Amino acid sequence: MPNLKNILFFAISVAVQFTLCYFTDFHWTGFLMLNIGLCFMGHYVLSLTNKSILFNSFASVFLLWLFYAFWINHNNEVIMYSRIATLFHIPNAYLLIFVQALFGGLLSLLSGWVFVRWNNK
Amino acid sequence: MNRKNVINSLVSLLFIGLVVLFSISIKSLPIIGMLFNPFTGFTQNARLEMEPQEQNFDFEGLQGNAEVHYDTSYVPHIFAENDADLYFLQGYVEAKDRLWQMDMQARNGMGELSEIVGDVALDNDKLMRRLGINKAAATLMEQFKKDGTLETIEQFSKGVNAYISQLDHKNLPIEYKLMNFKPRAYQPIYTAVLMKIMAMRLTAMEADIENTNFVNTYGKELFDKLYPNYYAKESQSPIIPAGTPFSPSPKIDSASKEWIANAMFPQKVLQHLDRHLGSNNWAIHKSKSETNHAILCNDPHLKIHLPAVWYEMHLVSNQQNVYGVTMPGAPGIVIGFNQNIAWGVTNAGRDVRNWYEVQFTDASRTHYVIDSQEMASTQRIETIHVKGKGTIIDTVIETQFGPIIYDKKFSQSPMPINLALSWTNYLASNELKTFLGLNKAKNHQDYLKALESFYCPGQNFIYADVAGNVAIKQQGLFPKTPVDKDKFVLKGNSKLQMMDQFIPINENPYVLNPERGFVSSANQHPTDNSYPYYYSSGDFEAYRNRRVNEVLASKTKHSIQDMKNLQGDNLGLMAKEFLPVFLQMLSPSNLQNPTIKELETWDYFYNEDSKMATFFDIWMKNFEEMVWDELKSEKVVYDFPKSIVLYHILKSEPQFVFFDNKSTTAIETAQDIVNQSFEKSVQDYQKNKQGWWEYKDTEIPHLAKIPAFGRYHVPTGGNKHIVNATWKDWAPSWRMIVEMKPNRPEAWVCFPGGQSGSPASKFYDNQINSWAKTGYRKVVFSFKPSELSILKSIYFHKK
Repeated sequence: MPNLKNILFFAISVAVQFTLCYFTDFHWTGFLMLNIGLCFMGHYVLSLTNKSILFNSFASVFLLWLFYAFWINHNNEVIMYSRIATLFHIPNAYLLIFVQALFGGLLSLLSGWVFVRWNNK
Repeated sequence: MNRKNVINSLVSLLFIGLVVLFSISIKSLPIIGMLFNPFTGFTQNARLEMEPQEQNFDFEGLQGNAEVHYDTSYVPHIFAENDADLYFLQGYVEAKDRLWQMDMQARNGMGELSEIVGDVALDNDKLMRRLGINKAAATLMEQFKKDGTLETIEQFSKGVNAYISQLDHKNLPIEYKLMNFKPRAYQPIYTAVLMKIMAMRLTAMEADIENTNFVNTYGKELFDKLYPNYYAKESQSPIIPAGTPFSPSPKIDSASKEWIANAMFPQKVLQHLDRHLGSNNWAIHKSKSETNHAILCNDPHLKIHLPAVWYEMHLVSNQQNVYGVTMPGAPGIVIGFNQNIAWGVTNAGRDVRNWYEVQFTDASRTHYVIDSQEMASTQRIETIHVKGKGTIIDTVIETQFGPIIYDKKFSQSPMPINLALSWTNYLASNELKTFLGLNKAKNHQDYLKALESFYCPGQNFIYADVAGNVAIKQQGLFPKTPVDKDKFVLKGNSKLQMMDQFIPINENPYVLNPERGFVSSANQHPTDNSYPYYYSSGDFEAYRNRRVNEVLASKTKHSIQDMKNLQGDNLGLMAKEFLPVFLQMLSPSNLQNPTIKELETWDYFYNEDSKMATFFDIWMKNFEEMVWDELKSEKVVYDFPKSIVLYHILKSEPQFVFFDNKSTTAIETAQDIVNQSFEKSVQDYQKNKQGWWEYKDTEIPHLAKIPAFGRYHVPTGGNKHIVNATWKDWAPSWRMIVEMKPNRPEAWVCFPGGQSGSPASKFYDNQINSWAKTGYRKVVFSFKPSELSILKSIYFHKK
């Protein structure tokens, strides 16, 4: 069950990810470095379980990307997402948003997993 | 190492492996990680469309304050205190909307595409290097310096660079992200390269190679019959009305037969792909206008693509107030109007290129022979960086006849001999000065003065002013040459063959306020044959000009709507002339075919849904292929004679030798070929029975051929040789009608694309649907920002 600490951790993660990625000209892998940093915080500061850390790694990025992409796409009247979906032979713009978010979420999950594995040696 | 450590290592390896995999570009594919991350990839291009309605910037390069207001069609209106700031901001704004396009055009001309896309572009790069576009651009830069035009381009470049300096990686145009490269600082020479490239596209009209093959196979007599200097009188309506007197004729010699190269050539020169480009323009005198103001119309037919060929702008400073379109990368306005005058261009298409078979003394090609004298050639070393393949060196040999373009080493198109090119595009001239001059021109004298520095590509500059005058001048530097010399590949062994004499500029065809009340051009002969100098083109057009002049002459006064109708006119004059002759020649059994009834009721209009336009197009194509079967060879390339020439032969000489089909034992006549081609066409047509637009299948591809960024299957009428010259991938790239109302000209425009270069923008291709139906948009020609409906504004302040 999500407790307050987990929710707080999720909120911090999303806020940190969004702020740093949105306002800087980060390398595309920046969010993974950030996530590993957040994992340290989750473990050492908030004493979260491995499960929570893994779940947060996935969910924070997946949901942030999903909503951010959805918001941009909505404002852009689906123009760019339709074109890129066509380019990658993805049936529609909304599926592309999902694929995009899943891509980020899974990579982030993997980075969390690396943290968890080495941290619990 | 325990099991846990092994799993840890494997997980880490998987992670690192995936990160690396998504960070590299495999086989020119984009970097997936960067592209899909919504904070770095394509999502950011969509975000850029959400920019605030008002932005403020400080720049060191500015002398005063300035404003850019985008109107509801996303046309930028730049208001600056002086010209220096105006051109700075023009550079800024062009870059903001078209940076990638400007970059690619420059790289294309400079032969640097392989650096980005790999060896698929190597032949193109080699061709550009051999043509010496860079060298020609450097000559142009020298002229810019001499004429004081350089300052304008430098200001423009500074503006482009000011925009580039603001760009984060995440904000790069999407094409940079997909093709994985970065913009570089803009240099003034890129503008010179752009001008040279345009000149290249618009002057590659000659068919010297094809003509040489023909004359060496069939002889000069047959050549003169099939490729005449002038078409039959009733099939030409020259730019300068026939009968207009010219100064007395100087003596013109004929070229010596001995000069023509003996070789047979296996293929065309590469730029021949662009040969059908053309344009229309006309202007009616105030006395012929319902509004009592002169009206000027122009529609340049070019290869169309996205981002669009043209960029529409309004430039206002204390020195000028000018509206129109420019090519991204060029300062000023290329086609447009100001408070006093309007101007437009069509291509002259005159032959300004000579090809020479240079006679080297040996395979080292260090020496060649002119008039029995040995001359030393020079070498120009071209270093081409090819992505993923390292560096390739191409040595270009320079001779007095020009650089060797084709030889055995030119990979895609090896030629059996060394072909050098002599070309007016290499000479010092200043075409940009002309446009900048026209932008500020107040009257007819200013217009003529502005044209003086324009040498290449030869253009028909049309003119109208608020006083109601109209004029047209065919301007360019044109070779003064013996008859027919420019039509063939020359031997390149004598100074006599060189292109070194030119027709005086003041004798270029020109007319002001002709009696008929209008001026016009559509890539046809500029004059009748009383013009004192010989000239030729591989491609004088025979149909559009007659239709335009016929319609303009048909009424005493024309309205704006008449002008719109004429730009969208779909009458197929070729069909109107050929079809009755064809039908007369059909056998009784073919006349029973159900298609005949439809053909007989067809009005010859190539409207969008016309099925008979499709049928006739198939028939005409089959007919010409069958007639000129002798000229289809895999080993030697020929040029089919023009349809207008065939039309007169069809009517007058049904036994003409070329009507015979070489693959049969019987001897065919025109009638046989008309019937055979009809039967074949019925079969071809039955397969789909498509309406005209579906069959023609007009497309507007992306400049880098990225399919998702192009527009395909555009429903639209028109055809080549028709005033609405909308063909498959070239078409009216800008339609403009200007009514020269004193102080406040009004204009109606449209183009196939949109203002923005970003595929994420709704202004990327928003004008296509309206353009396809020859719709128009009225422009806002304002004097102050308060007169505009503003979508977005940028305020610039000096630092």
